[in-house]
Amino acid sequence: MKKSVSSMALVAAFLLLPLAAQAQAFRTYLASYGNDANAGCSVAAPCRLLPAALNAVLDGGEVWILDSANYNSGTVNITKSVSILAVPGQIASIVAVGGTEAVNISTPGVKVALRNVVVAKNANNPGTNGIVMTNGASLIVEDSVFANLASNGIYVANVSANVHVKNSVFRNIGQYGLWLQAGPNGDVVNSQFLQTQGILIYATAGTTTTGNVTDSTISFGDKSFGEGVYSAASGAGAVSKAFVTRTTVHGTQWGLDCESLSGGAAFMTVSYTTSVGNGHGFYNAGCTLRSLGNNHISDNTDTVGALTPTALQ
Amino acid sequence: MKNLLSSVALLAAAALLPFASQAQSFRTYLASYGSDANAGCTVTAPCRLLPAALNAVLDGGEIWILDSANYNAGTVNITKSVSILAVPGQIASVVAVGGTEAINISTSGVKVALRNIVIPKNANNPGSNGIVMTNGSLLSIEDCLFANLAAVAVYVHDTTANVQVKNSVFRNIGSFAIQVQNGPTAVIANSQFLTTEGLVAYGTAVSTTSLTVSESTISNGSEGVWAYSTVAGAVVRAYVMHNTIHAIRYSLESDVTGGGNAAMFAGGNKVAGIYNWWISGGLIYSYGNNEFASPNASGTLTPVSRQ
Repeated sequence: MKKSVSSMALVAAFLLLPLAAQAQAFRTYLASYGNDANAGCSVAAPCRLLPAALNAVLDGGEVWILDSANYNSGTVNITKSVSILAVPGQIASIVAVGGTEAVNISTPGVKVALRNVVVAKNANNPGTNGIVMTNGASLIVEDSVFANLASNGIYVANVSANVHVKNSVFRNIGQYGLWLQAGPNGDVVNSQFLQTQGILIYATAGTTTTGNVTDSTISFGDKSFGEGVYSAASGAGAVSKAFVTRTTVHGTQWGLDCESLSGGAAFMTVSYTTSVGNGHGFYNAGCTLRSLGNNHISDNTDTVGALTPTALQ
Repeated sequence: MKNLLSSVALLAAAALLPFASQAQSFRTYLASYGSDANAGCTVTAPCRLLPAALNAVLDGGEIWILDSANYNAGTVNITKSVSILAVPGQIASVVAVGGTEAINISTSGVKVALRNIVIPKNANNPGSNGIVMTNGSLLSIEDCLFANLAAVAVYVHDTTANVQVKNSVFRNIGSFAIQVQNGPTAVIANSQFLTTEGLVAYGTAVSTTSLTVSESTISNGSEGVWAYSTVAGAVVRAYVMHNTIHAIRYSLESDVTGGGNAAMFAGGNKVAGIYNWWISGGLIYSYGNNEFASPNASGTLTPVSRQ
């Protein structure tokens, strides 16, 4: 009878949960025809903007967006674990407005996923970054577009979060598509960066930052400005590690840039990658820049420093 | 950290931009049930055709197309920066009609993105090209379809615009699927070209033109990828990586006349055309990892090492 006793204990524990938790639902809903006065943001009576749905959803739950519209009026602060998705066949916009970011994540331990959203600058009253994450456990971005942002598409700093970006487009971003600094471990797969510096993997003193870029294209469009993939370690104990695989980098000033600065240790490993038509095809300043010997690196203004040959096994 | 500093400078410059006209909105909407008489083209009262939505949208804004229909009656002139997308699950058509192109972009500095759009020929009253761009900064074509056009599907010339095409299909195009000429930088990835005249990077004036094509399929037509320069000072580069090129007369072609400068770099391609390559005055660098299936070629490849 061990089983039924423990089940009863579980039920008893569930009944003791505070009232606030009882009022929240595992999944809440938003729609263009919704209203934030709708208690619970249910599918039959959805809310209108993200803060209401985030307030009504259980930690670890989901927010589903039922039709195409914009779903914020200022920075959306995500303070719990949540998966936000626009249902297939629709798309949801979250604008960066009023000099701040579109989405902020700064709560320890939270796991956030965004799927099928457009994060753009409000041209009328521009914001800065798309997503800023300074605390939390993970950020997963799938099938999304980041466009025309004044600062970064996604900026993750001072946190050891896992960041995963797949099948997304970054275009006309003022700084980087993805900026990882002091702790994150990032992955970028099947994504496009146009008129946008690609990925910065930046370690400050005493931190390790890692980034993988696979099956993506990066084109800044100007061989006298901009980074493709940049691994930078600056300060004692700083370690930055970049892995670039099956990726095309074209029309940047520093195609594959790896720099150990002020006592840091920067690493980059490059395989099956094309770096053409850049200012520097690769730029090695005190870095360990490993090549698997299978890269297409040609027709750049120059390359700086050496590659360390590494055997395929 | 030099580039961090220059980014900050860019940001400061952006903050100094003047206010644009306030009556326009950041996002305007179109639908099959819309009406161009609806002021502002809002989500609850959308407009019907692209010119109305373009007129109502702020420079740098977006147009969302809410359901599947055709959204133009003649050439759509895009004179401001804008992203035009049909929402997923729907698709929007912009036809080439009346002997002209479907979309024209010829305004300095504009950045234009198109997503989930079909650009065909109106069979009843055919147009010519799909998109013609002769000025502007950026053209991004994402998840689009170009079909049955009489002339060039995407024709960007005499501008230094950055062009991107990803995950798009070009089929049965009368001329080139993509023609970049005299200045553009283009990156093409994950796209299919079936029964077209292929892709050309072309220099006919002093300029630098470059075209990168990767992870794509080009099949059935006279050209695969062609780098062609006709005058001194016209620098043309084509980078052709990890593609399948099949049933093409001239699979990889690099030609120079009149003192021009054309070069192609090819790596990791599978080529099964009539001529594997055709070199007439230009250069084709091979990384030694292309698979060529035909016995025919004209000219000599220049080996270049993988690193």
